[in-house]
Amino acid sequence: AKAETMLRWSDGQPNRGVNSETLQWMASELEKRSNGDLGVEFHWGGALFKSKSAVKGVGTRSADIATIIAAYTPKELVAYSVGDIPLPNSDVWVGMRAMYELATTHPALKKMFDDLNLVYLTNLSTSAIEILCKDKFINTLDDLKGVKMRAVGPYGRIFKDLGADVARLSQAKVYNALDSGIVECNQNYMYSIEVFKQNDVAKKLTKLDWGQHLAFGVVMNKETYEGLSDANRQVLQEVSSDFIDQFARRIQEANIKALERMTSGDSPLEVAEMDPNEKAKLEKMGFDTVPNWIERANDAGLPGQDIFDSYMALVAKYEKIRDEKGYPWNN
Amino acid sequence: MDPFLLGICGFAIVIILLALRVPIAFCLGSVAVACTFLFYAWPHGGEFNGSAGWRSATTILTSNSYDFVHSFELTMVPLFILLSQVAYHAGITTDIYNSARVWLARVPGGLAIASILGCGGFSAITGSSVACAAAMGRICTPEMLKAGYGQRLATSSVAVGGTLGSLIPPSVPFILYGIFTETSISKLFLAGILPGIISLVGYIIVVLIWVKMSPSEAPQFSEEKKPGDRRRAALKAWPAVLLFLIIVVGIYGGVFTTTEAAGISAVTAIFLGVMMRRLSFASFILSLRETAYQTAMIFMIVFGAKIFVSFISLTGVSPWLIAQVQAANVSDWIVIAILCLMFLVLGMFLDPIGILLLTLPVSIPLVENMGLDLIWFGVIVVKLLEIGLITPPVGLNAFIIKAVGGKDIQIHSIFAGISRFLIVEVVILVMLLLFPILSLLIPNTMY
Amino acid sequence: MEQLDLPNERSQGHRGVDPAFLVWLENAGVVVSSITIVILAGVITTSVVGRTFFGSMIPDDLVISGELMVTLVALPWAYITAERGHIAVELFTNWVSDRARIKLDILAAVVGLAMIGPLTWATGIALWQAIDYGSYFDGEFFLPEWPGRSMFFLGFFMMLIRLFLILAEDIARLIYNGKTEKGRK
Ligand code: NA
Ligand code: NA
Repeated sequence: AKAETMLRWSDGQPNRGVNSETLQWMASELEKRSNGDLGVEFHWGGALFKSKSAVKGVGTRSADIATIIAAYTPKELVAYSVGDIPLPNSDVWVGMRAMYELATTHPALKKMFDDLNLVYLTNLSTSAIEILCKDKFINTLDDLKGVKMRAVGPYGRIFKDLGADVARLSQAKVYNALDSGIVECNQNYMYSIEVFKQNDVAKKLTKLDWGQHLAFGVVMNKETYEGLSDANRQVLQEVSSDFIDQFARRIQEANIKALERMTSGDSPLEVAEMDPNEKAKLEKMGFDTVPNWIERANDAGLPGQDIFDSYMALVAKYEKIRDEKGYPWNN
Repeated sequence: MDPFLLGICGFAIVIILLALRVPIAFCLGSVAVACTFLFYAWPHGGEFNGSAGWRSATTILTSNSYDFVHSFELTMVPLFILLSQVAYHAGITTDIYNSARVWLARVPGGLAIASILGCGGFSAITGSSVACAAAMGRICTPEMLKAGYGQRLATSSVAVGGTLGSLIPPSVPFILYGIFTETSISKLFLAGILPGIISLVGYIIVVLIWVKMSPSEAPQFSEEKKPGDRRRAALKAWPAVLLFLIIVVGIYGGVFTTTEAAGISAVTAIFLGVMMRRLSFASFILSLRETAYQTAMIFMIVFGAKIFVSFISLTGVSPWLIAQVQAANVSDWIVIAILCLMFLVLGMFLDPIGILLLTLPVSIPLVENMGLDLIWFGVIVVKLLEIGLITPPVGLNAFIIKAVGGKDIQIHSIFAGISRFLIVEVVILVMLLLFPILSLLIPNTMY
Repeated sequence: MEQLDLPNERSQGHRGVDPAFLVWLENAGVVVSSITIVILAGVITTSVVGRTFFGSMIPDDLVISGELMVTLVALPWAYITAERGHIAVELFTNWVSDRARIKLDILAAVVGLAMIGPLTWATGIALWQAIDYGSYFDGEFFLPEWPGRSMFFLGFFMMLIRLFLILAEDIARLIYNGKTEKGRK
């Protein structure tokens, strides 16, 4: 039977990996819990429009739902890009919960999404940042000096400030670049290292477990949302919230399994951790970028300090919940 | 409106407009714009709402034009075109041809073989089949006619030789295929080398058999030769060799990426041209203008195709087609045969990039589901696109030879000549299909 | 794709109604596009040389490359259109009469307008929004989006005007039965 409301869902990524699997889980839950009222039609790989156009694409209802990336529309989503500040907040579940509550309760973010004709549904994360190198570990910050490294975003800018020679490449091209020596190191996430087979050509993993990129979101067109029945809106909100638990669990499991597979077998990956004192210095450099972000948010007419403080308070809140009760899927 | 019906109508109108001499970009673009608008304005089973439809369509239009081209990776398209223009205007490409010509003087059909080899060399640097046909057609065809060669051989050997441009790296279709399918462009380039060489050898065999059966087609070539001619001719080709080495060593030695190689090799060609005093300021300006002109023209067509592809995605035809083929539960080989047939039929009418963008979203998931190698399939696709360049009614390479060759040349004699090569093209295609190792040997050895 | 280097094809193209300023502007589009290609090659080469030998590179070079790409692609369109240089399939219409040929030219211009009109509007809206929002790119300097978007809009806008002129010229040719052919070279 054809669903009563078909939701056109655009995603810039091809349909493989944890992201698309969990998004498809969300689609099937929507259908199940709405008794078939809500159906989803996916358009993967940016066939409809590119990720760069996702904010506009959902705003104008070219698609009803899409994944947004703050780095592609940094001005439009400046309030949401608080999730990309390099902070030592690497727990996926805590980070996602904090972003979710911030986006759904803070007036500045609610107004931002409303002005863009969007309804915020839920968010995604890259999980913690690690460094994979061809033949060295990054034990100290000095080890980054002069290293040819592929890195992106605000984390990449800090590596650059520390003297790394940062090259910009898409993750798909890193395999060749590591192999031929165009880059010696790559900023990546555990499951993603295995997806792109980078462990074939680089054997030293520095388990940095620094922060994560959290300024990803799933948004819906406002008119589409308002056209839904009260019951279906309720379903949508429940599924969106449950998505976070699903995604956090799945990506953590994927990371653990990827590490297990990569460190066993014929040609295993070697793993080391950064010296704790050095890592503290790195984290301090991340905190030092906060005023820049606040300034950028203030320039956009937003209460930068307040958004940041609210976000940090929410991170603390969910860390406490995790420490007291554990992750929801373990209960 | 029913999206599926809209999709089929859209495709039919494109074909009619194409036949009515409307520019390819306009055919694809206008139909895509109109159908995308209708799709949103008039949802299936809903009421017509023009302003809402228009609002939704605008994002599709800007994303598939501006967002698509605002890209670092795509800069290699204008930069490789610039390289070919500079190499042509500085005479670097002529040197490759002359060198091959002197060395092959005694071989039956030697000039035709030299032309084919010259195309191989040219394409190795420029990555453009049509540029190859245009440049080599201007150099070789008149010389062969002067030497008493038949018109069919003198034209078709260059038209066919020009198709080596996209198989032998670098190659724009491989770049676009790699970006589209997220496969490694370097691997695709490596995968094209052996099939390129096999095609080259195949064409030479055709020439040898053809000349053997009708010797009047290619009278024995006699040119006064001084001692040392061969050595001199070979040495003169050094700038071309140097450019090729810079690209190959740079990419595989870890100095720069493929995108960067385009910029570096273009700058090097300009530098060589100026140092050898063979690139005048006027011809440098001309190279730039031609590059600008051709890049803009190419991307106008690509935009039309991109918007069209988005519209086809909206209609849901692609998943439907995949479901049909999967439900039919036929063997993988029949699926591949259907895909090849689709490429060949489209190749008779459409330009290669248009075909690439129209068919990849449909064909790639199918090929992926079968667990087949995407690099291998990339070689098959590019080979099919290359065949499309020489098949009537729309064989771009044939038209270019006609355009640069002058009014004495008959288009039907070009196609008549090409028909002899098409037999070997089919044989090569079947070989590439049956033995993926021919494509994968080099990339697998390198990685 | 690569319909490159077609000298004869090019000379068959002819210029029609030619307001001097527009001709100048269209040629300037090709000149600016040519200069942009040189800058692009320079940026990439400098970036590679800087990285290889000096361990430094041009900041935001990816964004700059994208801006140069949209500029160099869009600006020559009006010139190409004026020369009727867009690639078309001519095989099925080679036999038609001169008058039918003019009708086909009118069809081509109308179909072209149906594509370029909406694209001009859409890219214009996108430009206006980028200025209105003050949109910028992520990177070291948060470079603004409006320069590239302006060039892109300009490319479409100039082409749109030229298409209207071509349509007017072709309709005139049809009405006066080919008596306004003096524009042909
Ligand atoms: Na090539
Ligand atoms: Na063809």
